[in-house]
Amino acid sequence: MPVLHRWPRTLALVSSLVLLLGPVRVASAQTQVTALSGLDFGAIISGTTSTIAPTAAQAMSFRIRANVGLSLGFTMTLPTVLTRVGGGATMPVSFCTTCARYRLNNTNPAGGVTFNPNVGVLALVLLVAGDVYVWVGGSTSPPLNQPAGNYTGTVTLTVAAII
Amino acid sequence: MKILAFNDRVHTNVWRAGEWVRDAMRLMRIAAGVVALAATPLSAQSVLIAPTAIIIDANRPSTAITLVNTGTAPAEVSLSFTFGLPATDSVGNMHITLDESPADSMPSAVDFVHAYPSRLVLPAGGRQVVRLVAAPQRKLEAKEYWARLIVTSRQGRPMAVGTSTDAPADAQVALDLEVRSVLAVFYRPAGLSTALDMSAPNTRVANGQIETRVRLQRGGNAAFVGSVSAVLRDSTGRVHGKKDIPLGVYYDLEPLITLGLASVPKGTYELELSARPERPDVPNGMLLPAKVVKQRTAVVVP
Repeated sequence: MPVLHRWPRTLALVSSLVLLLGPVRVASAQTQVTALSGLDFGAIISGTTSTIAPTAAQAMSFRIRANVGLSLGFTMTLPTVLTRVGGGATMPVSFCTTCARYRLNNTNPAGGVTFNPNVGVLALVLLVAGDVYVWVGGSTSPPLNQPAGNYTGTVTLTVAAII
Repeated sequence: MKILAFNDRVHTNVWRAGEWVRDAMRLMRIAAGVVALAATPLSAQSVLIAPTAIIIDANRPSTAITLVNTGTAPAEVSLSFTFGLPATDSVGNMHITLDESPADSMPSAVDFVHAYPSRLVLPAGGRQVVRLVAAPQRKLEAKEYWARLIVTSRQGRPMAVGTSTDAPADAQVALDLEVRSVLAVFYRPAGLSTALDMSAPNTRVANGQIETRVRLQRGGNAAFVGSVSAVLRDSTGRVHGKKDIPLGVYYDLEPLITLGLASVPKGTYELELSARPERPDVPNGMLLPAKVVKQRTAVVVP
């Protein structure tokens, strides 16, 4: 009888060991893209060009997060105009060849790597899990006769794991 | 709100109070509208995707990916397939080349891999398992077939951005952000194998680093998915630098591999390049086995 009493404890111990020694799980690779802030031109002057540098607080910013080391590339499709809701007008917006920066595991764009947002970063190797922070500045040049209204545009960010 | 814009009536010094007020209001609306492709609301968008590589076995022609909306607003998500391969440019940078109309000779899985559902709305905090099913309509040759899954996500409603507290209520700019995540899809019938051939490396010291180009050619009938490691050793065997590059060789590739020399003393070193079917983002059990290949070359650090 004492032997039978020990069975449940033995089973529990065996179960625990099986769980501990069970198949080793490799963490599933994940990517996560988060939009952190938009491009904020602030007060503008009609008929003149307003420019936001990628290092400015008003720059657009994203974070690409990978939970394991991998090679990835990212490109952006950027609008050339903002369109007035309801039609009737567009407003030019442009992104220069040095209007973007990226940096690994650091949220400060100063010291980041400059790149052309119209080309993107074709390949970036993350040796371990990490965050890629991306900042994009731009310019807008509304003419003097720019109609009032609400203007929209779409930025497409493409992130590809190189595998 | 600071209005710095003037119209031509001001420039011509014609003073009409009513028109000036209308103009001022119009400029305020433009300013608030143009303005800000916005600061805060973009933070609402964030979608997590796992895994980053999808392998479908012909014996179990279905697998799944998980989408999680970690943002604070609903996200519209669509899934589609296209063809694409890794490639290197003239200086050895790797990238993915997407090709919507691949040649017939390419082993494309685009036509027979499907996602269910292929369109969905993920609520904030929501999670969705998407099933990927391979259903070839004909008998396939014994080789690996490839596709790229594109997961496109955008916020369910335009992001209201740039609304200034002192601007007219009807003036604002909305900036839509669309994120496309490109994932590799492999369809594997039975009888696959892979191998890699590595040519002698072409090495130079420049820009404060060792820059190495090496040509990789795949053998067998499936992509070589793994890593290339570069190790710099001195004559005693001490390691002075190391880098692992995860990559996939579908046909051939000639990547640039760099090793920084900031803390490497002058001298002669041996650079060893080795390729093995291992990479941190894909479980080893899902990678096809292949023989490890190596190349060595001497490097003089001036």
